[in-house]
Amino acid sequence: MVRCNCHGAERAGMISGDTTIAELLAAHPALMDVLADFHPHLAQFRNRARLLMMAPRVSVAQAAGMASVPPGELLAALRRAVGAGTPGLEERAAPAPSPAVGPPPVLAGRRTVHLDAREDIRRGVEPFARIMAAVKGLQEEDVLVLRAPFEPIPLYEVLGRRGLAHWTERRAPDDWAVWFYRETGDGGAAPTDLEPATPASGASVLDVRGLEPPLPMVRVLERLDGLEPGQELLVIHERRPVFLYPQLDERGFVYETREAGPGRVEILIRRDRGSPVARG
Amino acid sequence: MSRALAGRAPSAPTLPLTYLVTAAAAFVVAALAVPWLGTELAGHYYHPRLLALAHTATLGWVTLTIMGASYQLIPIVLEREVWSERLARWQLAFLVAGIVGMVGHFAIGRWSGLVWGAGLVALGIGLHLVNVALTVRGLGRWTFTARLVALALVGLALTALFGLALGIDKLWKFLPGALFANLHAHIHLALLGWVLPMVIGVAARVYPMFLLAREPDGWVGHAQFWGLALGVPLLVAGLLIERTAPAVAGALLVTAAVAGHLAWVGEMVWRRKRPSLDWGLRFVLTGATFLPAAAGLGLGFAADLWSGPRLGLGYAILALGGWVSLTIVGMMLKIVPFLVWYRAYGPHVGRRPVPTLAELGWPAGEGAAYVLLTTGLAALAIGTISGRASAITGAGLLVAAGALAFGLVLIRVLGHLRSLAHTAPAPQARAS
Repeated sequence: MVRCNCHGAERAGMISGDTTIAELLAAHPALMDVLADFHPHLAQFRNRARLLMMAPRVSVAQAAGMASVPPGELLAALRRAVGAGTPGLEERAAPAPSPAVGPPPVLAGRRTVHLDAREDIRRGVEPFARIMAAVKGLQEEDVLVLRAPFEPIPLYEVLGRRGLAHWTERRAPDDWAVWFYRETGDGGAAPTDLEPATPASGASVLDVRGLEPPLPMVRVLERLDGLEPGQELLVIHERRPVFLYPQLDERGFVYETREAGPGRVEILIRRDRGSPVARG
Repeated sequence: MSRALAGRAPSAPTLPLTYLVTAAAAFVVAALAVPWLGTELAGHYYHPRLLALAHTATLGWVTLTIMGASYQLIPIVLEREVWSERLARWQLAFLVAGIVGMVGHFAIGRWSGLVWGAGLVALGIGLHLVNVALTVRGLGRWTFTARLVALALVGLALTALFGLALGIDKLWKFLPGALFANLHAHIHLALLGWVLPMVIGVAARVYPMFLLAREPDGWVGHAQFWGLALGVPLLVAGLLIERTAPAVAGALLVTAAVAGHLAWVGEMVWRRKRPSLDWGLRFVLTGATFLPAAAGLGLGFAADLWSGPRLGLGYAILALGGWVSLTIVGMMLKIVPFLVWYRAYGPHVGRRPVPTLAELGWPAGEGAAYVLLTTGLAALAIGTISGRASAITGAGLLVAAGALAFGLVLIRVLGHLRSLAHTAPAPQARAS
């Protein structure tokens, strides 16, 4: 239990969903432990650089959103820690991410720059410099696809000031993909038949990293068996699956492979037009 | 969107399988010969039958395995399609004919026939080099593995030419220098210039795949590459001119490369996500434990701290038997079942139940092979150093039994290919 050197009930009432983390910790430094104990994602505020960068921009409600926890529960925990309060006060929810139906069509055909910050964040390495370097290198039509283990809410404001809109997709509780892009208004170039490196609406994702051969191939082929014409499967692999390709050819699938970064290869697979679904 | 690279198809599984099965047969033959050569192994290594044994192991077992594995692994580790499978099959035919000729003529001490055999082997190696060179032509990304493979192929070319020259020198004396200086240089060129960089290079890419560990990188990789690229020429030159200083400098650089490799292997084992090790990985990792002893003995030889044929034989057995052979046996226990599984069951995955890869294995047989080969090879090294023929014969029996167990494991795995003949064709998804 955190001991707070303050007059709990009196000051607890000041904590709301709109309170920024900077304001919260300035008033109650001991609440850092509460945040860290509440959810591992919130432990990132212990990092001084991240604290300086994010805390003034992130509210309690947004922090709850980053950790995918109900804002009310976080508020209640913070208020209990300062010695007062039951929940029931304002619980403004963090902005909900975009529904997971893929990026808007306006992004189709644009060049994509991928940046996976998950491993850096898990290892405690600050990814902000890498992200900003990637943003700096973006051309007008380019799209930055950022992967993070939580919703990177502070970046929305930072990159928004640079004219970048965003589209967010939650792929798993600890896997978020955000497309940062400039709105051009012309819809971008139409994708060709074999160039949709971003999965279309309804595509499912299969991550086979960390599996010993031939399990990745088994998992993919098992999933493809039920794939209907028009559906797509995005496979995330550690390397080019050279033994999978002949099987895909033989079964009438078309595929595109793209290196998305070190140790990460994405294969977008779909059933070829006119190719029947194999059964039995 | 970034444009995708086209997918690359691997070689037909039968190509690497043919190489690997031939190599395994050579290993069993060599292992069965060891108990019969107890007396010879207790003496000097420059003996016709021991030269026959050594070339059965180095060419028939080690070189054919590496070439066969290359035809499976090149598409994976270098992401390139093999230039010509047909050429690779011709290459195998030349190599097998040449190796049989060489080994036979070594055993009976007939040098004219030996040169013909060596010529065929050199031709087979030449075809391999052409095939691989055309495969990697235009390779844009020279990774650690790609650079080590290139280094190994240079070592292979030089070893083959040097070996052919040694054979011709038996008929028409033309090579300068002492016989044993040339012989030691040839042996070290083969072991450190061809086998070591190939194993180190492939291990960096393949071990993580099986250990489920992150691929190693960083300055240790540079130490390994430059340790071999500079160390092997220095060492070989030192052996040829019989000067201690370059030999020691080269040996130190090679030892640094070996230390870097072991550090990487240790890191991968330590950080692996795979909870338990199968017999294949146990073989590989046990093989690596023979390396420090072999490297230490080699360093001592280079520095003239010790010498003698018995210690030389012990050194060769630690390196070639302990490290190389155990590593190759381990890799074969991973590669052969995969190739067989892929050929027999790959087309049926997702369409009907197929056995898992583990179900193709025979853990009891693999375990028996592990115990017999590891203890047998360690005992053989000690036996040859002690010079006791009875100890060598006893250790040789263990090695032979281990090789037979290994052979039975492979035969059992290969038996799954028969299921191809008894299985109805898989449903074809593609509209015809």
